[in-house]
Amino acid sequence: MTDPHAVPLASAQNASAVERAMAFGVDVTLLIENLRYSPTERLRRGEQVLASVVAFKEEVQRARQRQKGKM
Amino acid sequence: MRATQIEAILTRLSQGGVEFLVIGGVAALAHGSARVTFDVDVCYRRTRENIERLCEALASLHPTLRGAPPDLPFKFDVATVTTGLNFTLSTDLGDLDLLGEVAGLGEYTAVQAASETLPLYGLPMRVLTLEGLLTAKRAAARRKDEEAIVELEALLELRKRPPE
Repeated sequence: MTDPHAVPLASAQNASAVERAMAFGVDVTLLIENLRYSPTERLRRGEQVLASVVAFKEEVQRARQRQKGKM
Repeated sequence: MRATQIEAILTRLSQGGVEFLVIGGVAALAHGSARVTFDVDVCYRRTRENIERLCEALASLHPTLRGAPPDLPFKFDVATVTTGLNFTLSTDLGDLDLLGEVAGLGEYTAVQAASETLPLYGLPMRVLTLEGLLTAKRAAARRKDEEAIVELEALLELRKRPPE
């Protein structure tokens, strides 16, 4: 069964860069949203995302250690 | 692991009078990329005076070679930076990569020619352009950069579109 949302390979070369990005799996809505902000705001938002990712990774690590301790 | 403090690193370099260009993931972020970056990449001018300013600006951040064994002797000073070229560092403010040259672009002067001034954190900073980032990523030809290239191309196109 074929994916009705997939961009056919034959048309990929003629597709716009945005269409190619979407076909690649890039969330273009995030890019459009980012372009509404100033460069500094974009960096600050990026830092916040990074801090969340790092905090989440640490929490996963702690949870694994707690689980190991129970075994 | 700790989140790299982009603002603190860039303002420290800028206020220290270091001639540097923001490149890599942070430059992409400044242009609108949605990809998370874990380190700050900068290209620095390799003159004696600038290397001195660079070392002075970073000295109190205790830079060490990232991923190197803790007993490996490493002193971040003018002699070390002059002898080497590219350094992947861990600092008190997070991970910082210092590049003397960039793939596809070359040394500082060539990278500077492909950069633009953006106001970051209230300071004018030189940042590699989207086109420059694309040149560097394509030259590096790393599989992990495929998505980044596609994203940067989309950003370039989106920026040229008239606002809705």
